[in-house]
Amino acid sequence: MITSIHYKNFKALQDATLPLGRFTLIVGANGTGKSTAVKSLEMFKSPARYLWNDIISKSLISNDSLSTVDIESDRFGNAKVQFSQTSHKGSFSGNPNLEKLIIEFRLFSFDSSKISAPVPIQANTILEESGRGLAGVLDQLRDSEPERFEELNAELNRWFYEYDRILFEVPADGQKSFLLRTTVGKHKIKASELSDGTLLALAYLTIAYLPNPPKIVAFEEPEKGIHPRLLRNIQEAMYRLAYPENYGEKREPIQVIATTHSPYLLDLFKDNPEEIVISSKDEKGVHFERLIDKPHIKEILQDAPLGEIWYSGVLGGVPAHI
Amino acid sequence: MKIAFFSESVADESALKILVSGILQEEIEETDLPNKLIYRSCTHLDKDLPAVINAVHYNSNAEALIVVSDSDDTPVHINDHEENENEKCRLCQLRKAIEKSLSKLQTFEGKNLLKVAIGVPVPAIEAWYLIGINPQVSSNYWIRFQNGEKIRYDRQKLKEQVYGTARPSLKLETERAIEESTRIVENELIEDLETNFPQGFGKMADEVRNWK
Repeated sequence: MITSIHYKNFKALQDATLPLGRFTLIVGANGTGKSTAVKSLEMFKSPARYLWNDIISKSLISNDSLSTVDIESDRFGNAKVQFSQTSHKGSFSGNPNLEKLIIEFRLFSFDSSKISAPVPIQANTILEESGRGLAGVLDQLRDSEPERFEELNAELNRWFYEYDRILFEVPADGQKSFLLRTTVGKHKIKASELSDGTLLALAYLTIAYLPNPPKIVAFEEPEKGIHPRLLRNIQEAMYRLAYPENYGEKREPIQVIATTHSPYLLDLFKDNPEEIVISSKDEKGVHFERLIDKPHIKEILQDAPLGEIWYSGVLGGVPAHI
Repeated sequence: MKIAFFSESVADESALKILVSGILQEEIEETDLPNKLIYRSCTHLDKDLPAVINAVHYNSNAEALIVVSDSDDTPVHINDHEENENEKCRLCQLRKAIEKSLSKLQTFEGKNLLKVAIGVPVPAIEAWYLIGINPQVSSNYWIRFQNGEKIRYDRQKLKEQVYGTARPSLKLETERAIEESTRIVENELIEDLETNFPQGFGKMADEVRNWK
């Protein structure tokens, strides 16, 4: 597990340390480095593909000619990713096992139109960042892990009473797509006709039920398109990845990082404030701070729900002038 | 009796139906409310309550409403609050909001004034589930914690004891809520709940018995 990432001259992150746990929820205003931080892991998978201009923020250009990222982990020691003005490509140095772990990283920012899209029939379909490929992933799950697929169907029915089963069809030669069967009437609803929220939720649910999910995953704004009452289920899907032992899963825990702007989602973490990181920005740049490291946090959190307190601004991580 | 519930989750509602049925010693009848009443934020609970009370009174066939909210870190309701209301006490807050709403309700043919009872588990509903299992659970024990004494549980530990984890799924929460509330009723532990939580549970139980 990655325990922290220190950024120096990396895009908008001039000098910031992001603390990470098994599950980390980053909360903050727009432009406070949340996306930059989660997307940076995608870049660390193959730093040689990126040039100096990809790393340096034009608006924050400094005289430094080196961008350094220090990554610490609990099991594989440290690693360093460097991008320099003088060399053409970025570089990764450190424990090969840590590099292997980072290569497994996957960022998800789902788009309902991509989730519902038919996919070519082929082996080893993977779920793309946008959710494209879901039909193939579900089809593989049904074939290779039928019991798990049945559990997923049962959970789908708990989330959406109106649907009781995932079915498949071949909409055109060489393609596959999925449908949901209605609990009442057993009608088949094509993926393209399902609501955005249903499609998004199904993507989260599917990742949570994969037998071998990627070792590190990030979800950008999982509240997007999801009804506030369903957020509890989305939290559970993410927890199923991060704390598999609580859900009867035998696999290793997955490190999960999520970003949010939603007080509704934040409220669900009132009993686990250690999982929350507040991102904020001042004249010195972006800062990440664990909620529990804020002074007198116990007293501050005493009288109101976490989401409300965050929205009020007393914790930081809100737009400063609105 | 047709009773509606306004609580934090479907899991809580499942337990409350069994416990209230145990107090009344009769089955709770379903109301014709189309959706479950679930609140998100206890800050707005007192502000949401007038709308909920009006909707239950005017738009449903419910005769009564149970409102239950964990005390979390708010001060525990004590006898002194009966004379001097404590603005930070959840029971005082809810009672004030309910009294105000009820005073504005109008009765009409076939509809008596809505009956409302308030429950405030201290510090969380899991403490109720542990009655008869963990001899320490009581509001007096929690008051000792609030007075700075080191005690043997907190909200997380209560969850771990009930669910085996501090991060239970809603499915597990609901299953355990039903199991423990059934155990409480079957083992006749309602009275113990009233003794150990005289304000947060006892007052609710008294109110519910008065409905018969």
